[in-house]
Amino acid sequence: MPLLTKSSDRLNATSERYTLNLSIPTAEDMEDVGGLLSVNSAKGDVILLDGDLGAGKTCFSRGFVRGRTGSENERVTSPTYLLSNTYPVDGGGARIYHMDLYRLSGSEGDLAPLDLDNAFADGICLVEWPSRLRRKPAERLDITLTIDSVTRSDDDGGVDDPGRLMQLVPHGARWLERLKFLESEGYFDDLLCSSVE
Amino acid sequence: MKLFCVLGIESSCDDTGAAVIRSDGTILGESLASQHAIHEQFGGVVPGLAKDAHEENIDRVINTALQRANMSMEDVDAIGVTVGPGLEICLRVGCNRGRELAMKYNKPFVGVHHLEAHILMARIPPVKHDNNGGEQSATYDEIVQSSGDRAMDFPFLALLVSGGHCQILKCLGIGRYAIVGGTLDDSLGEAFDKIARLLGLPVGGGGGPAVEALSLDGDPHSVALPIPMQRRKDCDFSYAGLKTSVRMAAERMCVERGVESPERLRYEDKANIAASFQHVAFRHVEIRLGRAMELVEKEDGIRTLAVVGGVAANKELRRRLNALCSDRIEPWEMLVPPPRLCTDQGAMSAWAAVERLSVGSSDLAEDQEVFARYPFSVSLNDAS
Repeated sequence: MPLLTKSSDRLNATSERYTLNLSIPTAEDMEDVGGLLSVNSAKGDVILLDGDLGAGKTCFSRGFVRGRTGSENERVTSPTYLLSNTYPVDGGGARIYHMDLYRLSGSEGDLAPLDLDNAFADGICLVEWPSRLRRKPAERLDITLTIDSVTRSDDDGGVDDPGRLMQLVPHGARWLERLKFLESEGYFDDLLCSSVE
Repeated sequence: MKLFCVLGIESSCDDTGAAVIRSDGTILGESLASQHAIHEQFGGVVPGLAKDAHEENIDRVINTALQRANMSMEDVDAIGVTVGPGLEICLRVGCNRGRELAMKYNKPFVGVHHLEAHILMARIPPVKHDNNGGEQSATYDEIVQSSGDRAMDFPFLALLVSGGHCQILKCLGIGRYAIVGGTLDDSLGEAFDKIARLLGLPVGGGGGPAVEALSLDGDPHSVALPIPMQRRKDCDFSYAGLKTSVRMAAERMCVERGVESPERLRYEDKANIAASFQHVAFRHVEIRLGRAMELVEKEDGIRTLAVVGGVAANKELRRRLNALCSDRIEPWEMLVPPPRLCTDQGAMSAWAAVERLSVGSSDLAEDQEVFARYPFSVSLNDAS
């Protein structure tokens, strides 16, 4: 795991909700976090990925898919046009659905081709642009990615990609337990943001 | 070879298309239900995209294509349907209808691979494409002469660039393709679309054409952007980083100009960003494709290039790839299908079925399934 910013505190307990805030310096780190969260993922797991153009949603998903399928070189490309890319796992016993709802309006008929009820119940789902969803599953992990303007390199004309901030908000016991476990075991230690001083 | 006619059906993603094509490449009739006309008011969103839309359209589209060809189902000799890759639910609408028709009328059936269909459009015999109903007749002798002729012969190299795909393939024969390179993240068409979105361009005609048009008024060297993957000496693509670089450059320009967001930049600034992006995006293609050309020329003696997929409609790309081909010590021949045959439509499936049937390959309609994922071939690395 990569090293980065000095981390001190961990959770921001806003309105009792357990929330993790991570600072992700590079694309490789983003993939690593994806891989970490893919461990033991199972049918019914849903991760909703919010964030701007280029915030790292597909990058996270690449790490997740590669981690879960075990194929390091799996090509995980953007689902924006194709809407949904699927990856078989566990010898075909389950599937990861990597979806992007951007091009959809969110109306019932519009979402129909994705067969979301079935995917949420029977697959492992990574959903980009989830604001289009009419109903969100009760059990899920919300991830919000933002581009970290603070760590932006200040040498002018430099094209270094700035780091990303990642907020993870679990909904339901399953995700809460997993995040707490990963945090307590120190998996996020290098990435935790210091909370507001 | 005796001429025959194929009904082709395509419903793998947004559009529902059908066409009747004769085995000499003449498109006898076609029909396409596309949501593109209503994109703009929703800012690029596809409101009608739905299984329902396909289901509503499928019969009408098939009947219209048949009518324009002045034919009935009895007159058709075979049916070709896209069966993957694509959205399962959408694919199933076309596949089920194609299967039903094939079984009801006892016609040979071909389950078409969507990417192969894109590539094979480069082989469709030229000239006789526009024949929607209007009898633009070639004499029988001409037809017999031209039947079996293809615009290009195997083997050749193909660049497939569209919204959903971005690949370089070595094409050895029907059903025989080897992937030489592909995108690691975004496709070229998608990169264009996202830049259009970033700049707040009207995307009614698609993000690609909007960026292409704006680029004409910009200086392609005005905004410094890094060419992707300079250190990787293979034939793969990456556009995610370029997309981020463009966004950062646009944001810097916003600070300079004192405007809130890239959408509010002046026309000149947007044009410069668009032109610079397009230049670097195509430079990336030239480098990766140039390397692939080097490779297959040496290994396989290939010296022809097909450029297919929606982005092949970009005039600047065609111009630059033309130069890439003609500037070589031993010039390459380049072939680009007419723009309207580069995007998803029924003639693709029909022509791919003609090609499959011509080598004696077909499928069993009753057993045909659809495949969201449909591995195309092995990559060269895996193969060796």
